[in-house]
Amino acid sequence: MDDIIAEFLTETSDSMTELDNLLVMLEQSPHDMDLITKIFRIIHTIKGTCGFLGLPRLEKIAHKSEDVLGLFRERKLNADPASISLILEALDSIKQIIPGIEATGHEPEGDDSAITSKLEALASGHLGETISNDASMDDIPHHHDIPGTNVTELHVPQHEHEAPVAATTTPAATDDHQVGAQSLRVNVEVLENLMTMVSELVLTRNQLLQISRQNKDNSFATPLQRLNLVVSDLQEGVMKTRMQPVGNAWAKLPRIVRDVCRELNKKIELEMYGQDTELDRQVLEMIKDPLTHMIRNSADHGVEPPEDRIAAGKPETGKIILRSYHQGGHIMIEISDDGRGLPIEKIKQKLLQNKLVTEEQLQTLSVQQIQQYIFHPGLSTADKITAVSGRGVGMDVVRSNIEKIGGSIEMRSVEGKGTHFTIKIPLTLAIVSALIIGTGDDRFAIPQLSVSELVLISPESAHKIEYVNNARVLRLRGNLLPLLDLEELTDKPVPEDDGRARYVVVTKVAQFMFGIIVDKVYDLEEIVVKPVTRLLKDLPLFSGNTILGDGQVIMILDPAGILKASGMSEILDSIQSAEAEEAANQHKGAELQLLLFKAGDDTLKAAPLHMISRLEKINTSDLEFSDGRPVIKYLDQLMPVLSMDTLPRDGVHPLIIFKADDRLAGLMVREIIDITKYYGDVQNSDSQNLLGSVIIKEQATDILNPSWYARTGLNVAHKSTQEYRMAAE
Amino acid sequence: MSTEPESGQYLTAYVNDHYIGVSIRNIQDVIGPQSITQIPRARDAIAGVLNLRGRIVTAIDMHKRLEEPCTHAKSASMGIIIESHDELFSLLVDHVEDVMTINFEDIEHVPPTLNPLWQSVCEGVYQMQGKIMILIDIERILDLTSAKAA
Repeated sequence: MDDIIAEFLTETSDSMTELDNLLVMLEQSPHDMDLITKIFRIIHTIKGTCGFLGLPRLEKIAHKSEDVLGLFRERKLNADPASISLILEALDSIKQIIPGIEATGHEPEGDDSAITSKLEALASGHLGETISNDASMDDIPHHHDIPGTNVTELHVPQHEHEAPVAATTTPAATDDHQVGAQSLRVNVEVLENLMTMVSELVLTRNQLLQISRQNKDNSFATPLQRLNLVVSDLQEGVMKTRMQPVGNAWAKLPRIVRDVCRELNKKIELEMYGQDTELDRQVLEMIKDPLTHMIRNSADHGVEPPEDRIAAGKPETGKIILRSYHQGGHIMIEISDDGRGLPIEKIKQKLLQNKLVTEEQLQTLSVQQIQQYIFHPGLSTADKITAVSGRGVGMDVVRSNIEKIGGSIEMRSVEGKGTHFTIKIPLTLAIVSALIIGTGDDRFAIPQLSVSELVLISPESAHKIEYVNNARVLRLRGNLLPLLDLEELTDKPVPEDDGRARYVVVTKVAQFMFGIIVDKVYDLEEIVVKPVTRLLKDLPLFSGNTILGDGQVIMILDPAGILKASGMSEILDSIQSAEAEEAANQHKGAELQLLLFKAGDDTLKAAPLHMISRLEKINTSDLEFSDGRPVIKYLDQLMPVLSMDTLPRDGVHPLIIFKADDRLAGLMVREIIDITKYYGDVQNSDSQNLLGSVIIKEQATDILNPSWYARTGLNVAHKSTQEYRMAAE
Repeated sequence: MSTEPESGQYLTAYVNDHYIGVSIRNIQDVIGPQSITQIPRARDAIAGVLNLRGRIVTAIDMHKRLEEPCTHAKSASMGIIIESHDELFSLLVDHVEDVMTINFEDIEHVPPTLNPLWQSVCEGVYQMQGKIMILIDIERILDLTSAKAA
């Protein structure tokens, strides 16, 4: 009995997906009789099986849906969107019950009267209506179709349905049988096992070939060659069994688009091309959710409501095109819509609001760069964004899911014209190409997909390891790349930098780039990833292990895990934003943050912000005098206070505290104006107390040299004190 | 217990001078010294991984697992291959002796005087002439959460 139920459940979930699609199709062509018959037949089968298996809840829902469909079929009820919605709703209730049966083998308790009564109302209401229409129309033959009174009405047509159903079912059923004879259901586990064994066979073959190559003349060479070919074919064949058409992942999409349309009163057509493109089952599972999410996004936020579309001069019905094809060992999936595209202004606002970039950086970002921010976790995780900026919700999750399986995603969007996503994913996950690297005698594999380049570091090469706050970095085409040492990661003693040649494996995890320093780079190998034992699951560094061609087991490094284990993601974040800033300003020359203030005469003065430790306000009466110089108690020490003109006699004045060479000096100024950034070179000045002059806000501005003030401030202070004294006298 | 057989066969082995027994029901193979790939940052007791006929085997250093010193240079050379939850493990011991049949009724409870670590991995003891065999509980040996971290 359990087997029968299990089989029923598999079949039913297949049928459910099919029904969803057929119903959506029916909505578009409500008079397609073949379609109605098909739907009717599937529901009828479900109903029948449920009755047989003793699943009364499912049976009842299916039964009531069948009644409504029967009316469609007899053209007594129009297959209008409202009725179709109701049937879809009924299917949803069936889908909700199924997991319960899956878990326990029995139908869970529950009340479906809400949906069944609605179906009943629809069936009976229209039944009555049709009768009255028919009666008013005229004749009796119609009444033969619906004989009996109200009570039996629901059932009698039921029996009448069954005869034609049997008739229409027959040819279709033979079709099914033919298909059934050509394909059979195989448990996924059996296939997985087969795959593992073939992988092992491949590895053994590789070993044999290696041995054979070492001993040139041996009698094994010829049979080995044959074995080689057979194994390759076998591997390919087994791989094929795991392949499924990408259409399987798309099956739910028409329904989703339809639901969004109904909900938001939009008109969207979903066109799908290349459903037959095959890819590995495992990969398929992994892209299902991201795809669903993206299609929903396109329907929800991308395509505009009909009135907006008309206003924009576009056809009323929006279009979402889903396309899939093979390209160079990868599967490409394209999703494009002709909607409103990404709203640049809104993204900009969000970027500023969430402090992802500053106003100045924003100015320098290109439209494309701004658009790419929809993949940024910071933009999408904040809840409030969903309502406003539309797209970008969870796109970071989409991207990380796709990258997890070694894929990539690209996006083009033209505001007002639409958005186009291209997803590139590998055919299979079972065998990956990996770079074999090593330190000392240890070898490790790193998936090739996460390696973006290799850089040689040697005394002769242009690239060198540099240090920033004791952290190693590599300057690569103007970017600072944080580095990790594989020796350190693997807890090996790190030898002194003896100038030996080493390699940096430039690795990319989501948006993070970092380098792993290794001693040796061996080779690229096709490896079969095997999961690590449960005893090693707590090690984040490794994603699996594998057996190499020479029979040795090596560990597969997991770049994401390494990043996590090194605690570097936060550092990377800051480096990235710093870099973005740097990159944005590159064409403008060096960047200098300046504090603007007024002191002495009325001209603008500035001082480099990084040399200012604090801004204070002091009262002149708080000034003390040490050896005749004005000082103020600050941080438990006496700090000289200077001024560019005579010290004001009383009142509260701003004080800029310079810090240079570990010495503090206060400069009393008239007014603090602003903090600004200056890009470009500073014109050198002859006077020592000035770093130079620049033009800010169209005014020539002197940049003070804080270290000069800190160093020689004492004299100035002395002088000004004398002046102060004189003025006071 | 009524349906269980009355006796079981045990493979006996030495870890230093401790005489241990492992039920042969779990044993797949006994192998000689192999090249083992060490795993950085793994727990101390995990000696590494090795390839046994295309399957990856996790080697457990019984000395480290039982916190016993390695007394001789060529210690932990033999591997007892056991299967647990579809994974293979190799228990590295000093040497493997014999297979012997033991009546279950002769197996005694773990004496409370045994050190706690041994107690935690032992399912019983068997008295022999002049020595005591400690019967190892495989699942508990493989549970490294209690073992010392690297």
